[in-house]
Amino acid sequence: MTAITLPLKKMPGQTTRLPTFFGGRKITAPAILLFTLPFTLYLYLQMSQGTILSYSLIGLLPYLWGLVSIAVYIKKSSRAMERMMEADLDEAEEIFMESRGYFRKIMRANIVFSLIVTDIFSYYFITKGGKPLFITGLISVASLGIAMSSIMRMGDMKSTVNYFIITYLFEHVFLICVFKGPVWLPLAFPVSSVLMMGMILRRINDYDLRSFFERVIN
Amino acid sequence: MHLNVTLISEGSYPTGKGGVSEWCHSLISGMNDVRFNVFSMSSENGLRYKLPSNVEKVVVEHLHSPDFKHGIDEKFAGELIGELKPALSGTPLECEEILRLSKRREFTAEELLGSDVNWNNAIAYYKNNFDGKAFAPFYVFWTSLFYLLYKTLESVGKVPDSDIYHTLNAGYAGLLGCLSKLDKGGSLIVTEHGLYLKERSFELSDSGIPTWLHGMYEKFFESLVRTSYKYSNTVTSVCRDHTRFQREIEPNLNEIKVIYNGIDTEKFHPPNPSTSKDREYFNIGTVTRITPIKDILTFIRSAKHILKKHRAKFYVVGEVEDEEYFDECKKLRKELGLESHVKFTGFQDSLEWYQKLDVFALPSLSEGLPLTILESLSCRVPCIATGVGGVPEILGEKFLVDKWDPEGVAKKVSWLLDNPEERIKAGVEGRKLVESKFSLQRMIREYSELYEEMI
Repeated sequence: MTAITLPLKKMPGQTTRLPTFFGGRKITAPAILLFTLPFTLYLYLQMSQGTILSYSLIGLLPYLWGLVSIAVYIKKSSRAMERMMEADLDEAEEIFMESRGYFRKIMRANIVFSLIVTDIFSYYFITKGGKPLFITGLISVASLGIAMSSIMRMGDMKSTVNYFIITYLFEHVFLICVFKGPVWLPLAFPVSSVLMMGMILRRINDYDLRSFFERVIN
Repeated sequence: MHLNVTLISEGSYPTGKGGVSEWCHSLISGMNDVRFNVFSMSSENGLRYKLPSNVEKVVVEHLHSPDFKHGIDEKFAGELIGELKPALSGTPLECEEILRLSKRREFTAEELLGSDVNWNNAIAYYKNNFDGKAFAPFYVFWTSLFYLLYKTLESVGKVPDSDIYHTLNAGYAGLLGCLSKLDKGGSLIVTEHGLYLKERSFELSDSGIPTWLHGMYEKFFESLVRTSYKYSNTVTSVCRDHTRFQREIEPNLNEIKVIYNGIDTEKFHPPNPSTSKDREYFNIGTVTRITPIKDILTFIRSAKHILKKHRAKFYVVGEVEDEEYFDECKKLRKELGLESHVKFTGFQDSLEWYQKLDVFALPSLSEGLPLTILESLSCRVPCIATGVGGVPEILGEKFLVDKWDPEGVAKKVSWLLDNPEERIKAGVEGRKLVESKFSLQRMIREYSELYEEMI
């Protein structure tokens, strides 16, 4: 007979999903690349080649950084997952803590990087370079955000879209403040970014071995 | 006033195809004076049958990957989950108490799974039994077992009220039958087509699950089976062979009624005499789902042996249930160079195929009373099959082979091919046997009588 118990055959590591500790999908990086391409083309039409090259490099830095850090993270977490499959409870706890620590470091580095690009570079380049460059920064930061969000939320499309909208709203408010508001107002954004970073890191801290298994199984 | 029966299925009718589903459909179709409801726990979507007009209600509890929800009242979860602990020691559950507790408030399986109690129980059980072993496989395993158990408890309220609850196996469906009977009143019939415990053991051997977890799995399902037996009014078996095993599991089991499966002999009839089977080659076939328990690999290997002596084509008629196993079958077919000789037809009208066959072969590793053997005999196609379950109650010794024995299958199939008179005689006698002992009318009559006894 056909048994409903058959899904037992699917153990972690045997699933098609990337065996990362906090999720992640193979499609994220190419999707982001596809997403940023039209904006890059737009820039080519708007600006001289020398300017665009230097601006693009700066603008794409967070994306490249995010891509490299995510790739390294996925590789590391895959290895950790292999170890986890063999580990007893105590060892599993150790592997989990180790991976969580590494994940926290990556998140912190990425958030700090985004913060610098968003709040300092953007401000500088808006005043010096104008809107096209700002758009580059905006897209690259948003892309990075989407990538990180995708990893944290296991590539859940709804969460990713939500994150995308929030990021854009945030950036547009920032843009309005830079062009129209008082000079001190943009400073509120680095502050709120720091607060957000604190919240995210706290959330990672709350993530324990039980939550990890619940995510893996679900 | 019509008698009302709720059939409770697990992974079969009406969302899946296969012997149990066909049996179920025939039972309902053959009892026009009985009103049926069907409750199905299934991971499949969509109905695979056009339901007969005497089916009043169909409820499909769709199963998906376990989800964890937090925030349930932990005291409540603790009491309810506490009552399920005997499941880990193989002893029957106390369904009255489980039902009483589950009535106290609404809950979902996901909430029970996400409770602290579930996690803490898992940790405690792991430390007591498997400390030092890999934790990840254990916890995934624990979750698989308990998620379905919690889902069963959650489902009690969704089972339609009936005079009789008739479960098609003794696992989760059996437990749901017990709880429904106690909840709403009525009688409980547990019919075992395959032996649930044996099938779960087979599933384990094929799963790659660490062997140190096997005992936990076996105890868990032993508990469900014994619970089903304990609360049933009658346990029915599809063959005598199974009753021995059922009594080993539960020596206190009062009565096990054997009701052989039956098939529609008018539908499964021999080919028209004008349809000649004169061809350049013989047709050998099996009608079955493609899944390891049916041992299609042995069927393919036997083809290699048969082809040494005979010109023949081989057909596997049935849908793919296990993709990995199907890949294994195709790989073996390629390795043996049989790609032009062995065909996988997918799900098709089996009658057409029986009528094209010269010999039917079923090398299954476990069976109840296989409808496919009865159907092929009814079409006057002789059968070679493994002597498992109720098969020896249909076929004589000279048509039986051992498990995992492709040469044995080939030898007996070849004997039938070499001796056309024996082949025809086996077909004619097979048809007579089915008409006298395994007809659908007889099966329907016996179940009707059983239903009458229950009220």
